Amino acid sequence: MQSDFLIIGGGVVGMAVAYGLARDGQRVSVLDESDDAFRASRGNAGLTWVQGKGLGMPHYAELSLDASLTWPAFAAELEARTAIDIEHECRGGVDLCFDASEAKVRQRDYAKLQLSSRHLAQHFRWEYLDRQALQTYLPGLGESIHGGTWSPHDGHCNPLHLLRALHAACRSLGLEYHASTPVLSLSPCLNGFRAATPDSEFHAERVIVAAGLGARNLAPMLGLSGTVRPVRGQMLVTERMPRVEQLPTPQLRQTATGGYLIGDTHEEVGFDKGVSLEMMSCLADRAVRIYPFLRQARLIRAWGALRIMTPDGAPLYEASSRYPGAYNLNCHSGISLAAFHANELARAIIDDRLEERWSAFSGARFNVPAHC
Amino acid sequence: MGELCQAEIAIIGAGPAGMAAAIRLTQAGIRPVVFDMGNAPGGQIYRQLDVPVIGETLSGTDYYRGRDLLGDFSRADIDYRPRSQVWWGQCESDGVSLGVVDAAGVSRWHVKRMLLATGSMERSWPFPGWQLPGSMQAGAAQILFKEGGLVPEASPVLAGSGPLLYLLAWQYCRAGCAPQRILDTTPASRYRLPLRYLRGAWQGRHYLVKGARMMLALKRAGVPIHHGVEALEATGKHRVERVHYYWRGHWHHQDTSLVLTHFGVVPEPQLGRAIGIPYDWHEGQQCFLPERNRSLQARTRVWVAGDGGGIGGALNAEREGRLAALSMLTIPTNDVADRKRERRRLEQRRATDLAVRPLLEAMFRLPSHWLSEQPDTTLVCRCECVSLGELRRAIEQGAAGPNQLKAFTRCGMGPCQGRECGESVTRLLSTVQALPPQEIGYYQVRPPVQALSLGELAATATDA
Repeated sequence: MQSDFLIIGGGVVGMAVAYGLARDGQRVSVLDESDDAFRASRGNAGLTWVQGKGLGMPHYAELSLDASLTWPAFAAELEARTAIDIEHECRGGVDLCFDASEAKVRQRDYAKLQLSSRHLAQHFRWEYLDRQALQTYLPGLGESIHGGTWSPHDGHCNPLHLLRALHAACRSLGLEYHASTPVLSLSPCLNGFRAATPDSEFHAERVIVAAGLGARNLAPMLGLSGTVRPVRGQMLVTERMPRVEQLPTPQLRQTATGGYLIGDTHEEVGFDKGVSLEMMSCLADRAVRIYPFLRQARLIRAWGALRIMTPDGAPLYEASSRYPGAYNLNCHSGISLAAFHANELARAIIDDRLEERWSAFSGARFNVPAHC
Repeated sequence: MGELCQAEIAIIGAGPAGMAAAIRLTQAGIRPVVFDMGNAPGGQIYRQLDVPVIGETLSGTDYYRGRDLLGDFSRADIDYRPRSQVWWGQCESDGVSLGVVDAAGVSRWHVKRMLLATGSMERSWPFPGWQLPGSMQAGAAQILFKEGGLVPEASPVLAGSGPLLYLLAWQYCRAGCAPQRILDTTPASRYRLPLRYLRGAWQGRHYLVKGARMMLALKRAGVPIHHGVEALEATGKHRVERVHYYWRGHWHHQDTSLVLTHFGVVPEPQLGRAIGIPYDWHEGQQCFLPERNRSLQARTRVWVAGDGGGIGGALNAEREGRLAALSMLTIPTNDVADRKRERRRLEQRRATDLAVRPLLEAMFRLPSHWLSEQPDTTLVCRCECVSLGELRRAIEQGAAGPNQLKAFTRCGMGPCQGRECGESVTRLLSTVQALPPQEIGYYQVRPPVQALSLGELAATATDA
């Protein structure tokens, strides 16, 4: 069967772009892995976050800020289309500091980032608040917390509902979704590209690799870079607790259903997605220091997931120069950037102007064979 | 991280399999540590047998059979830890790491070998209204009976299939609380199956005679038994007020405040799955069983014995416990020939005992399309209130496997951690996608496999 686009990967990056393409009337097929694939889309905290993104790479900070501004309209659009509540809230967020030196480094980094870009100087708002000042945003905050940086751009959503809504929206737009269809090889052919799977072959005019860690094998087949590595994040979730008006933090947040989502760790342990007792204890300890009332909360689940990390931590959006029509999309922040992926990024791909419009995120910065 | 406790062998569970294994190990000079959720050894089958609250006339003789085992267990040199739960486990190259929680808090263990003797749990079998107060599983009701001598205030309706249903009905009768009615989903014709499974019927004559006697006693006591009930529903405003059942082509109604259901038992899978033991679908038992070799070993340093490895009953569990213990004894001794003989004898007895299983499995076989024939409003996940209709919608939207379905709907994300809905979800996907359950798979089981508070976990942090 022939479609306009073949997307390899049914996670939150692949499905957001797929949605953007299908909404534009493109015929899209998505090939996804099996139910127990690594799936970073199912192992994240659901933050739509701006703070701390792009330190040392102002373009990424700008992208994150702009993406957060388009999130509310994107969430409303998906909800209207699917009747699935994504639970998106953008009322600001706080990144906590546990001691004075952390607070000092944080403020210096943010100030430096703002100095590096006029856009950020104008639009990126943040403020350091001490423990006392934070009490209104984070009632119940523990004694041992020094303070934190507050920013109005940060928010959170239910990442699992987001993934489901993207699937549902794509389905209603006529997208073809193939589960448990791992791609063995990608190659150019007469009318575009061919993806070989264990049971059959798929053809499309253009192909987008949005395979997360799977890009390590697949992207190089089309002259694209596969230089991503796994970073393990372990998370905990508690039983449902009474709802408290609290802003989200990257350390923990209360979800719409009442459970506290506690995360996460950043471990370089290869392809091991298990949980370790040391890290779970460490997360629990940090959580009860932040909110001592959580001491009694029952732990419901702990899990590890593999996140995608590019060499510099910023997204990778590249078009193959050797095989025009082949793209590789890979990033660590598929939730924060979902609105951007569905809108501007999908547009740039339709127009085949990805490298031109988003050159800062091209694979060229890693000096990969894609541009030999 | 607190201090690391060590043991040569850990046994999880002190039912017949765990007890028998522990006793056999001490005979070889090993002092195992036994982690047990219960207040006293015995497991579910011999619960409260150390200080019985019900006499033999109420319990039946099989219950008191456990006394010898219990006596040997209490006399042996075993590091028995009642009220302790293993909430986390991980296989390592030199053994197994365990996280244990008890009254003193959380501790970490490293053991060279481990036996899972975690037994079975009641199969959850959704029908409309099963979430209402007043709807309970028969096994849970039997726990109350064994542990506290408790019988229902008002006469209950018993529904479902399998021997436990009749045992409980018989026990209630003897305790002076005859059930109003027994709604047996097993068609009457199935009770003629022993005529076709002659070998199994002969080997299992004890069970069959016991079953027939109980049924007869119930009939004499005037308890109506309806065989071949095809559908079930409980209704009521805030709790169960009525039970409706579809029988012989019509819906019938019965006022009651308590409906006790039983649809067989399945292996408790959480710890086994959490440490990465592969499970396979067993067509006869209609559930997933851990993969084990002939020595009941499931992984390099892990063994599984008793109903946790496949439903075989208490006597089989005892034999499996002893067999596993023999296989765990790695140190060569001069009684190798004796052990070989012992093993052979156990294996023979086990084979004889298990010969009745195909017959029992065929007799009490549940309709595999039951779930997909329930109305859309039926809850599948009672913890998170996820209905069958909601699951169907999510499957249509692209949830192709149990884990994506869990992510899309929260089915299995509640406090029971998927124990209740896990196999229902597999069954549903199997029906919808017309694929065998083995290909559908199961949830990825996450720790903690037992309840634990954040404070307890935090107390083990190194920098606390």
